[in-house]
Amino acid sequence: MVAPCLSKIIISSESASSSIARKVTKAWPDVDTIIVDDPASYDRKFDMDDDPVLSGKRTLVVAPNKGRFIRKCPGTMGLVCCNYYVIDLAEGCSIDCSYCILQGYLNDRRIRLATNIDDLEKEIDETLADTGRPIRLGTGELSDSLMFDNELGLANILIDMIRKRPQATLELKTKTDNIEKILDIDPAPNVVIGWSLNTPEVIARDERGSASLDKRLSAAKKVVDAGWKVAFHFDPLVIHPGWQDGYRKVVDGLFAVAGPDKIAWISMGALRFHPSLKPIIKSRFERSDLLKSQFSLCPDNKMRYVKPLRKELLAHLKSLILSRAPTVALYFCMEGIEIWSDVLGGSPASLGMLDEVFG
Amino acid sequence: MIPSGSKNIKLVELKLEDIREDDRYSFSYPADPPALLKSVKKTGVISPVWVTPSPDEGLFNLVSGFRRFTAARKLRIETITALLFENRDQFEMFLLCVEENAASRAFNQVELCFIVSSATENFGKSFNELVDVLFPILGLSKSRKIYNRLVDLARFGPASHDLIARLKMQLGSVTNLADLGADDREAICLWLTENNFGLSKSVKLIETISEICGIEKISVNAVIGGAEADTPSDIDPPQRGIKLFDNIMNRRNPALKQMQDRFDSNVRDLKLPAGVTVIPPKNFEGKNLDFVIKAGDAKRAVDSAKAISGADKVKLAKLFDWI
Ligand code: SF4
Repeated sequence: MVAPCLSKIIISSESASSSIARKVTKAWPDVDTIIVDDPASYDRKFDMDDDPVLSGKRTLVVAPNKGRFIRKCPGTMGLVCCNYYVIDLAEGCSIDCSYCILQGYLNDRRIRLATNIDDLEKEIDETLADTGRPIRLGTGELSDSLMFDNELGLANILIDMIRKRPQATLELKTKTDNIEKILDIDPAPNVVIGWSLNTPEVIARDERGSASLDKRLSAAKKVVDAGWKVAFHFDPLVIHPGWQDGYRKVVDGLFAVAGPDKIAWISMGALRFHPSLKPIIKSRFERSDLLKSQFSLCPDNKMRYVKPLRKELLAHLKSLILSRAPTVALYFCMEGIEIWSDVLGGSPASLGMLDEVFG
Repeated sequence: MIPSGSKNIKLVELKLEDIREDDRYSFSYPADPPALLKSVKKTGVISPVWVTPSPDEGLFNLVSGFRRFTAARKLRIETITALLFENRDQFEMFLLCVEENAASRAFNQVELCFIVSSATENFGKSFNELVDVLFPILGLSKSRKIYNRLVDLARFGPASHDLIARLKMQLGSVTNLADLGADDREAICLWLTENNFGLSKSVKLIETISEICGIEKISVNAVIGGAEADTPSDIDPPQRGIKLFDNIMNRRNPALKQMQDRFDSNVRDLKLPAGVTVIPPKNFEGKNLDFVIKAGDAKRAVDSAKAISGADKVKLAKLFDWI
């Protein structure tokens, strides 16, 4: 299990009696906890600390979300969009990935957990009514879906909301093995538990505080055995010494725990990052191989591996996966149409097997 | 400027030989700019330097006005007007000197690092003690990262300090230099100075060379030496600078260079008329090529367009074959 290492909890007075606030205080009785009127007025940046990013990850703010919970995944102009809605139940993450965009968020580095989860249920209904068609939802965009799940069991609340709404599909995406609470409930046919996978080298160097590959896979096996559908995300794919063989072993491991019929989808995305993240990665992740390859700045202002390397990386993974599961729904995350065409042989619209994913 | 309402301050005329430079208070960089020497020669030292009494009877410690003092000494001026500050806490005096300087000019990064490191090393002040009293005077955000960077920067050698101050490099750009060993750092800064690369190229080269060193596990001198050996020495310095720069960028990103070379060769194969250039998308990210026709009249423009549309289709298709 991946245990978050909190050093401070700040609870807003208006949500002090909420069920989530109560779960939090029960889960971490020894962590310094304060109840305040305005959590925003407390140190949010930690600039006085040696590693402000890490200090932020150690601080949990529990307060109602005053904005919306659901937003459409923005995608990026020119890239193929996977038609996804993001639920921001939590923002910020206890895991510490070198490539994580959250490191560049300077205004509030803390983990913020929303307490007004009932409002989310209303928003799901509104979104379903607005779109008038099935939607895919996920929570792991600015966070890890299961980072606190063994302690708080919030996933089960979400799962029960979605279970009642068959037009919605929920994916809980994680790099942890925090599935204890999920195993306590019946599987929901429209909920998918997704794991981001990487080689043990990348996990050790670039995904601090996450579960090892073996732990992620063994957690996946447990949920598959319990009857859940799973998804896997090779994202970010990282070029590092021995990556070809490394990813082959990860794919082998994946299919050893989940047969193709249990897999809702698999996605792949080559490493990409905003250029401003480069000095942060250099200073915070000295052992990382992440920046040692060849990159170019793309029109969406993200650094990506130069095209031939990117294509080689994605094509390698594609062939590893499709040779084991030719009909599995496989898609790319944040890639342009020419990479889709070159590597997968078409756009999502032309690849029938992806209908379930792209809707 | 005499601090208003201050007690225990006297205006005195002192012999230069009775004044000792107290290096703890010296942070001006460069230490003796030639322009100041000229001005002192012309008009003498107009504003008084600042001194405190020395523990050695009859002597004084210089705490502000180091550059004026150096100029006066070089010009063999015998006496100088000074403000004598008595019974002052030393760190309070240091802050006063910094404030006095900050009021009249902006500090460069090297001066900032000298100030912060002097406060730490000579006056024993920690980050937490400095952040509220010194950082606001310096106009710095209250950040430990900035403090750490400045302390690092103070340890750099003279070539590095010279380059950083001359090019007015931002603190963020200095991080890549901090990651290098002392010899490598000095070597790269000397080379950048000798070749007169401007700010943006220097920053890019520092970043790229340090990355090559990390990836290939070689020294800065090996990277620079390789670029120098590959670049003819008999070309004009600005052109040579561009070639050196390109050489290092290509070493860092050979796949991009290969794509560019193949593309250029495919364009040459097409034998398009002069005045037609084909431009790929930046970094070959994207699908569209620009065919640019430069023509002085309509006829030549039409001829060029015809040449493009009549070009060998197989060769034309190869232009789009980037991967
Ligand atoms: S798990 Fe996701 S949100 Fe958390 S640090 Fe890693 S990349 Fe960021």
